Amino acid sequence: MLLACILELNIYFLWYDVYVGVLFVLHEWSIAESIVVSSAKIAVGQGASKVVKVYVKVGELSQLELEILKTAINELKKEYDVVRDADFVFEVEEARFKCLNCGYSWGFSEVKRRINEIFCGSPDKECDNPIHYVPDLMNSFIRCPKCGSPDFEVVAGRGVYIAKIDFVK
Amino acid sequence: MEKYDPRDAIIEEKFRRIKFSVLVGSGKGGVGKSTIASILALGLSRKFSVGLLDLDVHGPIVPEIFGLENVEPKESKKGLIPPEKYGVKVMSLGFFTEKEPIPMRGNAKTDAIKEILAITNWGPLDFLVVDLPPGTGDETLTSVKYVTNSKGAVLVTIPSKISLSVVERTIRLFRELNVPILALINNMAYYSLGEEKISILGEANVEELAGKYGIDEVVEIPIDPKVSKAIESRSLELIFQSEACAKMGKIVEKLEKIVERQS
Repeated sequence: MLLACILELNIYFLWYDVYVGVLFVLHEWSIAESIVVSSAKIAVGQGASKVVKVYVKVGELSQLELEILKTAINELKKEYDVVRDADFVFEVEEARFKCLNCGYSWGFSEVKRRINEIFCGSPDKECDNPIHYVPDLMNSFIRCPKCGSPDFEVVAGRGVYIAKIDFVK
Repeated sequence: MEKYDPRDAIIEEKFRRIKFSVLVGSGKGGVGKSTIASILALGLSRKFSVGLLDLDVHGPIVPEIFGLENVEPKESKKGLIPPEKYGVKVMSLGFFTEKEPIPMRGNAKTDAIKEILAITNWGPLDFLVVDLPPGTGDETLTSVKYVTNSKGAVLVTIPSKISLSVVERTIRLFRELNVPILALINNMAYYSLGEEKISILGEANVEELAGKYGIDEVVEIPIDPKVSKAIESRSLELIFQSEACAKMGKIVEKLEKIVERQS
């Protein structure tokens, strides 16, 4: 009986992982495609014959799973000669917000639990949410932790950008 | 080295698969842009593959017009798949925010529009109808810049002098941005009471404004209860029976010729 329960629980968690995994995986693939296509286009535009390294900054607010992003990039880069051997290096940029009403400044960790609560039903549970797709929708759901205003701006760590490309001509 | 936004290249890539984009704008709010954009998309969908992109970041209502407000776009490896109804693929910020307010400032609006353009997987389309928000600020400028394929504008006014004055500014802006104006729509131009046409919202000379700027197509759309009934009863197919839809046929034909020439 106990064994059956354990097995059932394992299957449940396995399915849960697969389900959550699927939700997060696909968006990372589409972001990966934009990074690979852009790197190739920029490099070719600058007369590169081969890209050596691409430095990518990933804003914390985009909530991207880096391992999935890397896997997707390693797969997609094979389709573009100029970047197929390039090393893609990632750095996560911490998200910072500033309230335009009271001037308070805060980080993503201060509101992450609130986001989980709104979209996942519990502050400790992570799940898919609209901010993952369109980070600018933060203002629709989150308020300044100090004064409660929706009028704040993202000052750092919003989305993804390519910081530098090393290539040979 | 300057930093690069990877969305730029992927947006361009996606628009390569769309033959023609129609920007439905006005400058003026409350003239029926979203309804006109929806009718145009529906009219085109009878013969072509069509997407309808709602770029009103503060008041997106296209999902409601299409009865899609409780639908979420599905994911794919090439981005989010727009929900489809009546043969029209629809994308809107409204899918992500439900009834929450969307308090965005300038840069955030530009980013949100770019994000939507970058993450939507339209696939190949004959036409993308873009429902622009009111005004000639960030949203309009960003849309004109990033809708990178062949495009033209359909501008909407109501027959009041105040509306025409705002729309004239928009006409001038679009000309400066090199976006051809395909038609000027005089929306809610009159109400038919038997044989009589009653002008309720004004009698400003829309033809004269069109003539002044060389716009060769002016379409008068009446106040048509069938349209609001179709939307409110969530039976959008009833729009096909409306006078509004019949009158939009002229623009559909014009767009058809443009795409034929392109082919």
